[in-house]
Amino acid sequence: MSSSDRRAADGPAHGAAATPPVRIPRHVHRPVLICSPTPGRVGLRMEGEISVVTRDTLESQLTSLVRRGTDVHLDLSKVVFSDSGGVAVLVNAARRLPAGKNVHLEHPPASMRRIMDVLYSRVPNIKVQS
Amino acid sequence: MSATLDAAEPFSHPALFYRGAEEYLAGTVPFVEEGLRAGQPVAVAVPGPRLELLRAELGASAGSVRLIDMTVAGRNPGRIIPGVLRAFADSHRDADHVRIIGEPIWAGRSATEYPACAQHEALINLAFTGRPVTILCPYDAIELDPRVLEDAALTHPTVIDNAKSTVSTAYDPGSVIQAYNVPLPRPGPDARHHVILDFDVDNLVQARQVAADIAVRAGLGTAAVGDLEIAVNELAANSVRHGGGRGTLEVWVDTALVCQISDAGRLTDPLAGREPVGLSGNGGRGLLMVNHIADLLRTHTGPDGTTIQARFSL
Repeated sequence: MSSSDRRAADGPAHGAAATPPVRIPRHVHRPVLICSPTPGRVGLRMEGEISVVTRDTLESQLTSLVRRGTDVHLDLSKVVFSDSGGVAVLVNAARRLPAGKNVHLEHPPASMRRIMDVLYSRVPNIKVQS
Repeated sequence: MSATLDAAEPFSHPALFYRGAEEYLAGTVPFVEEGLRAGQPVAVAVPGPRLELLRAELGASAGSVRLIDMTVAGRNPGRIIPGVLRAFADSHRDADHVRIIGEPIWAGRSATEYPACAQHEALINLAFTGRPVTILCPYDAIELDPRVLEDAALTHPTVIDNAKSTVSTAYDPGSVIQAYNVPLPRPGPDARHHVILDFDVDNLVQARQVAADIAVRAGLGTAAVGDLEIAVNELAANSVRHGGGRGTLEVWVDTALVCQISDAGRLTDPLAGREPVGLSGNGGRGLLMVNHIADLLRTHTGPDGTTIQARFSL
């Protein structure tokens, strides 16, 4: 802040907006996450959205997979969005795998890649494949 | 917090008031060189032109220093602690001592950004207590508003002025965190695309989509729209989980694209969203993500609820 804009230094000093805001009606749409087994390998094919609503589903599915102690393959090509809580579930699952075993994220949505890059770039045993 | 200095405290956070390039170099170059001679990791995170000035003066030693353009890495003051300061200090946990020059406030900082800058400076003290780290913060005493320098004396235990280091008797970072915990700017008269949506767990998806729709109309690129969707989703999910189960989203466009989420919750941890994510940690992860991707994050919290604004440059 320079000496010249001292006058503007305080927050809510603006006048009212020229055009009134538009209030948008609620549109109910609870996201779902459908997980199905992937024949021939340890993993899941997922469809839908990983969010605060579906995180528990993801967590319980992964917990049983991780117990098998081998690489886990997640086909995410039909997942449209993931939040940071969902990515944290994947990271925690990867941490519970034995040394040398990986979680493979196949075709993750852009949001999941971005969250991985920003928050979890140093998790060694998560492999992202596009 | 008192103005007394604990001699045993390994963290040190001096402000350096400088007038012109010569004083800038006189106050920063010896700090860097002493650190390098002692084998300490040194980072310099300052605005681009100052970075070039320092790089030229340091000559060959510049190669041993981590040089960071603060106007990029620290564009949003809320990500400076996790993304710049702790990112560097935490990657040198074995070092006896770590030195960082951090200049988060420059003359081009807007009045909308400044409260977040001042709070950031105050929060450094909480984030680094007990750590063997020195963070030297240069302040342009010619260009910056006198109020900025007064705040610097509140947020820094020591102030170096005219080559003299003195204990700041004004030191009181808590008062700065409070003083800038104020109602957030409302849309100006030129604001466009102003919409309001009440949300709860059943229309979280809509909240994200409403914001994305306006971002597209405002001309943001694909990557920026993606970031904005992530940000709105994280903030709205926080309202659902911790803010009473519901909240209100407002989006408008003025000098930036603004996404505002308000709910009935209260932010009690002043460092929420500023601690680097542990591989198993949960607290503040969503807010941390938003701090990393937004160009500015402002918060106002109190007994009546919490309002958060994430701003994205057009």
